[in-house]
Amino acid sequence: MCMAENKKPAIGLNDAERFPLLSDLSFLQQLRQDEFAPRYNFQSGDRLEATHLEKVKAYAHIITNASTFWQAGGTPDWLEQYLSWCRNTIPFYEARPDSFAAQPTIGRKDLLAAPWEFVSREAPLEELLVYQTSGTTGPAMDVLFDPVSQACWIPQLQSILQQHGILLDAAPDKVAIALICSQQETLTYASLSTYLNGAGVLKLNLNPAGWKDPNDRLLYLEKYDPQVLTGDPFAFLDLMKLEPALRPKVLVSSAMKLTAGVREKLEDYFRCPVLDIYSMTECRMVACAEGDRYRAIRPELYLEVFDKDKDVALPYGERGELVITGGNNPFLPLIRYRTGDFCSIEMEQGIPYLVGLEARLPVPFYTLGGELVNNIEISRAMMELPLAGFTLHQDKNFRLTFTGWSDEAIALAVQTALQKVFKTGIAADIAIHPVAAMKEMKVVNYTSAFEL
Amino acid sequence: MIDIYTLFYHLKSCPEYFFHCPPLNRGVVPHTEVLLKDMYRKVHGDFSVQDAALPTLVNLWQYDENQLISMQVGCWLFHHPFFAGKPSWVTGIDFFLNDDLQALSPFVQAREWVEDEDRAEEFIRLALRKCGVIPAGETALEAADRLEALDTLKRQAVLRGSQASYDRIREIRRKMAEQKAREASNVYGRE
Repeated sequence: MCMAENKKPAIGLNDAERFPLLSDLSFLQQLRQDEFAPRYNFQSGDRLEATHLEKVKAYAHIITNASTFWQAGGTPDWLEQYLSWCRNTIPFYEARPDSFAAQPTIGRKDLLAAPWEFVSREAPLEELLVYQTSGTTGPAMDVLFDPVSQACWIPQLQSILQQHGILLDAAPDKVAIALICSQQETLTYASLSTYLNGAGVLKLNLNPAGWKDPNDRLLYLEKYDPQVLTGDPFAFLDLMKLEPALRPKVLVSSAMKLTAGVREKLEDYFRCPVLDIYSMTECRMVACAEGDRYRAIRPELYLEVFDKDKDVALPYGERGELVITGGNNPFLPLIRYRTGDFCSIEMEQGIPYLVGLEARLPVPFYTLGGELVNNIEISRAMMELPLAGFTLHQDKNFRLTFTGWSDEAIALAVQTALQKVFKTGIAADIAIHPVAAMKEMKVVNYTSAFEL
Repeated sequence: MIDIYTLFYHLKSCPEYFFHCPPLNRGVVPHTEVLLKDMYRKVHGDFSVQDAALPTLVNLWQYDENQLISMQVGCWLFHHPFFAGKPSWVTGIDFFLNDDLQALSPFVQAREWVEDEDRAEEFIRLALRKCGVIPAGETALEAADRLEALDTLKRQAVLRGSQASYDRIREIRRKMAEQKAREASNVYGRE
């Protein structure tokens, strides 16, 4: 198997290549050079050309106007044609049967092993982009996509906001979206959205080490007052601790499931809706929480639920593993992709709802000093090591139990990595087993005796 | 009826004379034409038949040496007594020697039709199929299956397909490495 090689991306474009359609980049310079700006460590752009932008706009029109996705007992109109296109143009699906009902499921291990097998022969390779997952829920993986499917996260977000009566102000002198992180180390950048007429998109890390002055975090955020804040529950709680005077239109939690307690705290403080979006690297946003279930948002995704162990589709209402078909990425078209997340599906007026979704619950870990540790930090630290998978548990006495699968003697390196993330002094029991002893693929598993 | 092995041994005994290919010169009857006309008359079962009743041979000037020799090897095959006096097979033989061998000669050297066992069998089976003959001891389905298994054109298509797939994968991997080393918009909008 070919595991994704862990290489950090390097800066290698100029702004004209990052934003081919934007002639005025003065707002971008302002965001980068502001006296309170963080020490940005990266640069990034949407790379949309005119034909791309047209496709993004066409996609936005479809996603915001689809009133029914498919009827209970039926399948979406596009499904047969999509299947036939996959069979004709994608090496991985070439030998597949011609009926959708006979399609087997695939999983993360298939994408890990040979991502190039999923690239349509029609996809122009000059548009290929790569994103390496952080490895929060499994081994790091290379996900391929193009500028259009990349940029469509904003129309996806817009379609959700529209459901809640929220409009994004697409003005070239405003920050539309800020991605908030609170990590020891992550890529940060100031960017723009061509689709939003050049409005700002920021990725910020609240860690004071990345700022000239810790107080600049508040000054910078308050000055540009982003309309949408996205992040994980850990990052939002850290942001709240800073007591910023912000007036966001909405907070969006997408990397991890939001618990009711955290949501209430955030809504009280920021006085705006806090949306919990179910999203995954392989196909971006899938559904948004409404009450105790999630409403699907993508008319071009067909959702099913399968038995956990057998390739058997389950009827509506029955609980199993969520399986996805479709998407708008020519570099990764999915047919019955097992998400690793569990729920049942209810259809209501042609719209699917995910009920009882168990996905990426935030697992709180603490340092001996009582400081909260985001499990993304742990995943990041472990990515540097030759691990096929691992589990980590913290008990009430803060003691850590680490089980890893590797064919190398890395117990000491794991110990060092854990000490770095949890600060010194934490007790850890470490066991390393040979890779051959690993029974499942998606083996990054966090458990904790604490609750968030 | 005739079995494959009888024709196989006949083909293997092709005289060296059939591999000669003197350069084509205006005003001189080509060696290939002499062999073809002789063979067609034998298949006709009538050596006094006029040239006009035989398939036209105007294309010979367009063929390369390998195809001309392959056609001459074909002449030797059809000299077997089994084909003698079967005038209704002439059109099929003409099609085999011209169209089939034209498609095949870029991939098969003329001597391989005799020296390589699979190519020899393919040559014989293809020739028989053009005459509408099923080898003795085989059903039509078995004969078709066996020919398909030996099919040079099909094998070439698969090889070309595999090469194209291989080239595509290599290009995707090269592009992935390039994008990871260089800045992609790979983190744009990712938390």
